Amino acid sequence: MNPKLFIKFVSVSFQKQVTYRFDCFVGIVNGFLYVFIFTSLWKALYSQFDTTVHNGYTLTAIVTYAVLVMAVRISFTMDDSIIYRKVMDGSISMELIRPTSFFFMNLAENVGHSLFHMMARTVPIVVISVLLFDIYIPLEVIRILLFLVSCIAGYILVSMMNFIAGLLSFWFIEIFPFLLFKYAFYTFFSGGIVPIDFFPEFLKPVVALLPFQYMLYFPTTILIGRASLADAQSIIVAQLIWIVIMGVICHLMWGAGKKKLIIQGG
Amino acid sequence: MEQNKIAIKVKDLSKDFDISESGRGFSGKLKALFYRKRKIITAVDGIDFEIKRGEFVGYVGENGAGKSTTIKMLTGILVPTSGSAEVNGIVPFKERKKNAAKIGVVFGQRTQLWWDLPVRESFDLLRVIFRVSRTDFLSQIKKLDNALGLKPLMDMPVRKLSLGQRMRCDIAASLIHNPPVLFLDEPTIGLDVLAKESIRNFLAEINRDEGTTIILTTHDMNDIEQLCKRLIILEEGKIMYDGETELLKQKFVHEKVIEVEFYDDGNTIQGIPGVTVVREQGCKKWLTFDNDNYGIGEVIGTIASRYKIKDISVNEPSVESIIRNIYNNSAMLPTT
Amino acid sequence: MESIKIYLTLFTTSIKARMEYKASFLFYVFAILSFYAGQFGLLFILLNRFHEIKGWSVGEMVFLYSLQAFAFGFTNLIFSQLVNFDKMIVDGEFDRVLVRPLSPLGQVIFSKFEVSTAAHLIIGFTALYFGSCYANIEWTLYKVILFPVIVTGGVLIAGGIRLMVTAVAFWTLRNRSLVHTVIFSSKEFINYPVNIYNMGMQFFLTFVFPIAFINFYPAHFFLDRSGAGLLHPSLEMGTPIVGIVVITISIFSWKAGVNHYQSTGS
Repeated sequence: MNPKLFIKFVSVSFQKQVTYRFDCFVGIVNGFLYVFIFTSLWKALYSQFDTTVHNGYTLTAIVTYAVLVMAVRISFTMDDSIIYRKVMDGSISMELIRPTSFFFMNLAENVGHSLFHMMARTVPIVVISVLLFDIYIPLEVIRILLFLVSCIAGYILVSMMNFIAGLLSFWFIEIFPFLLFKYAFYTFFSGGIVPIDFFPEFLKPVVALLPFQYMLYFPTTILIGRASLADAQSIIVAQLIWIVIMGVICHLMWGAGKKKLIIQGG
Repeated sequence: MEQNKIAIKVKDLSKDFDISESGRGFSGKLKALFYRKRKIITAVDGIDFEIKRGEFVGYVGENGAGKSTTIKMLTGILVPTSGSAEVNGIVPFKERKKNAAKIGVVFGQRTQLWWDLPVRESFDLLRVIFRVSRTDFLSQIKKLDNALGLKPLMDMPVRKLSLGQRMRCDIAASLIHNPPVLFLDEPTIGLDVLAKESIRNFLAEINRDEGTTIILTTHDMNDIEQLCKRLIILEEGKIMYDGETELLKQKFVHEKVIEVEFYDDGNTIQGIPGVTVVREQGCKKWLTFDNDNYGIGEVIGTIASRYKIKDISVNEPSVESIIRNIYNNSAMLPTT
Repeated sequence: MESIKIYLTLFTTSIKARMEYKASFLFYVFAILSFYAGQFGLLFILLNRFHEIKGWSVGEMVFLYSLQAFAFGFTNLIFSQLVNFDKMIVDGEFDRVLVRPLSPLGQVIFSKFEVSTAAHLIIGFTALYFGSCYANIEWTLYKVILFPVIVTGGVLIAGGIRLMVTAVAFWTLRNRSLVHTVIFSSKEFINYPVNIYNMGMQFFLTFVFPIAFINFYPAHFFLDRSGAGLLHPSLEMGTPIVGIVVITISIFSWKAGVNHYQSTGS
């Protein structure tokens, strides 16, 4: 897929989101709600002990984490029913006729969607949070750059996750239960609420086997300074490995799905 | 009592809608709190009519003329701005439930059946909702089945029915409680010719045999021609015509067109008094004639004697062309 | 009254309609259970690390959760169709409701059978059992009788709020995001004891958006806890009263919505 086409799809998707302005305003409230709840929770938890550091996080660090991981998470907002809808109304067959890669088109659509959410929701939420809470981010240029690279990698992983979940529509009439599963796994294992450092020891091997921590947790740790610059590089390498693994899964599933589509006729 | 013979009575009924600009987006809506461009449109403007029991009335008009709005007021969905309406002696917007129990409504584009369930279940549920006794229900279903051929459809889920099948079931559903008045909003839209015919036959039958008062809104003029003895034409919220469909056609009989087919082209029709050629195509010519001064038999006889013709036919003015002309204000309405 | 029989018939019909999709029913319930397992998981991780939240032990937290699970389970059972109500207005389905000789609210409420209730009830009973044990609740006859009363009050509150926010659709047409935030996201607030929030928010959750009465205040009574925060002894028993007030206001707002619909069309 050529870059120009990719950008075109992104902008189309972006503009579609612009029509849902009211939803977006509500979305700011919605996102901030969660930030508020979790920062309150952390403050309450930390106040119960004399020690100021738990699992390597000071109160400031954990509050920063809570805000930033939510910011990243909201920026990664995607519509996970796109493929399902296309299968249901039959327009999925158009994808077979088009000479473009379905995966990249899907990714472009995700990017357009997310860019809008990032601008309309993440920015206000971060601004409000910075004003209300005690947040600290080490302002090193290299760190921020590594964070951005890691975010892009994490984003691709999330897109792949949703792509795989969406492809299940070929085999199941109702994929909502699967989406719930995916959402549960994603929320829990990505460190989207509680950083992996707090997880009990017996869970850590399980977490290591799954790609989810590379979607939200690791990119965020780079930005808040929890991961050193050297760590950051190995994180990005690990993300790239996971991209390859999940990429293979995506490819195989799409192949199988296409076959089913051609045989069944939709 | 004379009163009982009137099914629907509408007097000076009006409905205004406030479509003030409410502003786009959040800042627009905020601005709208302080300043709004007031814009009120009158969808229905002081209309009057009376429909007797057993009438079959066509209620037509262009889109936006006010037909749906009137129907919504008569079925209790909307509250009028002013004026009065009575259906079966009940004021629809004052006693919505009581009115609902005595009318049947079919919306052409939306089904009232339960999408995932077999038709039988929908009917049974409606029986409960409309408090129909089991014996009445069974005899009614039998009647409807005979006329509409419902038996093969009864156990199919509604989502699997074709449009024609679904429409038959929807019409049956609206009659389960044997209402004295039936409102049909575009019931034949999207149906094929056969389906339309069977539904039209059915409607004519229940009107004739059961005396069901039927109000039909439609864009299909064949529905009107075949079914509606009376026609009410609505335009911009006002009644443009309220009278017999036949009368409307008769008044426009000068629109009758004679179609003449010759064996070869190159013939010219001229010199016949009162006859004008309006169109030519190949071997065919279309003519109109002045019916005030000449009889149609005369005209045809003259043409046949002067020319060697292959075929000749007379085309009735269609209700559609008449109404179209009315909309275009290019025809004078007959006073009724 | 005969009307009640009619509404019950409507309801059993909606169950039948849902049962047309038997296979996905169980799967769906399982998916919801796993979603909540994820939520619980995070809670346990925190409690594992911090032992308690603002004085609330594990058992007490779990009991707190059970009250919420029951309230939302039954609210979902009764008021589930309201979530999709805006679609009914936009599609013109509501017209059909008005043309039937039944109350519009009754028809809308009884028209959908919500599967997730089963999952909520499973969670509710499980949490009730374990919470009871771990928190060493002394179950007097009084408490046993009062439990369903409190749950009913919770249903009136949650259901009333849902009804009110749904009625907004009569004016704004599309309100899906608002519904989502108010009904689902706000639930997150009461997953934790309300005294973790600052005074302003506690006030809000008690007197403006009274969801704290669903589980927080009544829990004090069952757990024989003395209060903290905004808690008066009287607030413990406030749930049923608050429930009646909320549902009354919400029915008025619904009726206002129907009136608005009938004078302005859609």
